[in-house]
Amino acid sequence: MADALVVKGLSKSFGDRLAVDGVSFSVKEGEIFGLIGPNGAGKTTTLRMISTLLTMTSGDIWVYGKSMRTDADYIRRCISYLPEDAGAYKDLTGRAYLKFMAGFFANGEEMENIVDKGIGIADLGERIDSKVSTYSKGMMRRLLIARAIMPSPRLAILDEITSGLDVMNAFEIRDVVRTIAKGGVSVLLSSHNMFEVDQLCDRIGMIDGGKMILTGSPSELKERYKVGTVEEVFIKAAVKR
Amino acid sequence: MNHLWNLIRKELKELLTPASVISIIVVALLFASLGGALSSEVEKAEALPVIGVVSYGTADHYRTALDAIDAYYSSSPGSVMTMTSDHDDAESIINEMKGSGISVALVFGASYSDDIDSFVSTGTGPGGVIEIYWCEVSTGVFGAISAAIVSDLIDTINHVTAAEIVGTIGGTAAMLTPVSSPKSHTSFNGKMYDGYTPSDISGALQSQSLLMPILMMIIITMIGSMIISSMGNEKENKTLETLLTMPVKRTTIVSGKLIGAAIAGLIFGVVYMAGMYVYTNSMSAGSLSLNELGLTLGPADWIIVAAVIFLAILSALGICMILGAFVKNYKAAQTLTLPISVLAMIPMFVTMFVDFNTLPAVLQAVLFAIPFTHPMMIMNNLMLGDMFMVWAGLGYLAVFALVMIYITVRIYNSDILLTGLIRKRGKGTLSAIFRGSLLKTR
Repeated sequence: MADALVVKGLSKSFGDRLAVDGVSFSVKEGEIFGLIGPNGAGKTTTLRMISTLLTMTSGDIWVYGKSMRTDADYIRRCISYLPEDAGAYKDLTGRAYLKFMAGFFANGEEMENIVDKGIGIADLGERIDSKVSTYSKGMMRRLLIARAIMPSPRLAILDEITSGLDVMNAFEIRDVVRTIAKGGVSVLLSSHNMFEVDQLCDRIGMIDGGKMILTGSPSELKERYKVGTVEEVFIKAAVKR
Repeated sequence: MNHLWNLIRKELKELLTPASVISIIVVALLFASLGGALSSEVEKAEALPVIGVVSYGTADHYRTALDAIDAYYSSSPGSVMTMTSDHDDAESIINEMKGSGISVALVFGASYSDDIDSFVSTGTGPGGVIEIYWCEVSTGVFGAISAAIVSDLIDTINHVTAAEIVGTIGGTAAMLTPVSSPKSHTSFNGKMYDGYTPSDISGALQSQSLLMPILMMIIITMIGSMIISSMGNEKENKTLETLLTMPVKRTTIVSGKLIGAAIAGLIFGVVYMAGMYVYTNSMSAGSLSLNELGLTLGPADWIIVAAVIFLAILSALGICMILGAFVKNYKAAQTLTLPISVLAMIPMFVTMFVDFNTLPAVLQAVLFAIPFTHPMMIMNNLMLGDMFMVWAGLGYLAVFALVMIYITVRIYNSDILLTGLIRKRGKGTLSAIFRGSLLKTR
């Protein structure tokens, strides 16, 4: 499989603080790659750089062979980023929000097709025509997942997608992620939920103190640390540092 | 272009909510109805007040005075009433006034006529005394109009009585007015206005002097608050993060926000202008119109006015988007509306009460540097032909707006939008805005 994303020696400084320190990893096409690590480890900063939101201090990022330093516009057409605890425009209805976002990817009938796809993924029934301000957290998350997936991105970057959701909503959203990956979309996600990472991800990378301290599949890592869960891998790796 | 329109529509949907539109319309209607109320107050004050007369007999100077009052009230004869109260019984006079709906009573002394004759022949004594009683007076600013009318009536009685006395001693009425000054010539702003006093001119300009500063202050404060709050909301909900990862140029995102907010600002401005127009017109009722002074604006002038207002709104939005880049959430955004309000209030108060040209050079420079001064002065400058200020203001505003937009685009291309300002030894993040360290294709 070809590389959907390659990150090499990526660093980011905020003033005198080095938030990300020489991180390198790659995500294959159709792969779900989980980024884990303690709070403040540099996961979100890394995702933001890959999403073209933050500039890189050093290193580089390639998405489907194109460098962030020279082809950020191309990369934006390939990716879809869903920030942690993101919201939508509260004065719009769910449908109007999807239409607004779809407008950046296509026009006319093609845009309507994208919106229809989004409405199908969101699965909000008649509430798709309600104002976003009236949505529950679960409904909002479904709408945002739909927004992120409906334009058929080649690389989906999802930050804490099930954070704060109930069991049912979290289960359904994980199912959506699995489905899109099967359809060939590469997924880079970050999560504090080790069960979710174990269930969903083909490979995992752990960041601590801005450095990538381990990568591998959940089974490889469990075997390497001789433990039964990814949570225990996390603890052992963190303690070892 | 399609992306731009998509963003503009989104901004308009967010800014022109039913709540914001209704509140703007209600405020405009309040101004208009307040203007209507003021207008009727002015009309009432300008009408001849119902007058009561307490006098004794019809001989000599009494008759002359009563004839003068009747002549003065010839357009409203029913407003003159003869009272029956005694001239030195104040309580009775007031009660009769209240009972008969009389606003003002002229009370002639019992020896009014004799006192005039005595004064004329000896040159001593008080002369004929007319005491004036007011009942249920208006304490508003327009109450002074009724007092001015009565003062004018007393002057008329004085003049008619004096003319009669002069006639009896063999003189002519012309002897009473050997000097006259029927026409004023006022040089103002390098132009001569024949037949008008400075008060006529300032009265005619009052509607513009009040309307534009207040209107611009309201619009700038309002749209400033809206755009900063919108930025706060976008950051709080992380919709801005999502928007910035869309395949659209940052310049288009900035333009969409600016144009959407500018359109909303102009719509609100037109609604406010209608309300304020009614209000200020009622305030300047009775004064000369600008047409009478030849102070009118042609089609080209109106285009300049529109351009100046648009550039001022764009400048305000630019400042607000720069300020908005540093807010973290909606709550923090509320506190950042203060600078823009102060920047709008300073020129508003100055241009309402002081002539820009009479200010010290330093203050003129400070006011000139504030972009919102120019739309507040533009109509008066155009009407008075101060074209240097017009073109200088227009040029300054264009440059100012462009600089603000440039800085905004640079901020949108930098990390500051998400991270805020970060202190750093040597070159800081702020300087990164102006360095070439941004993603090249943004």
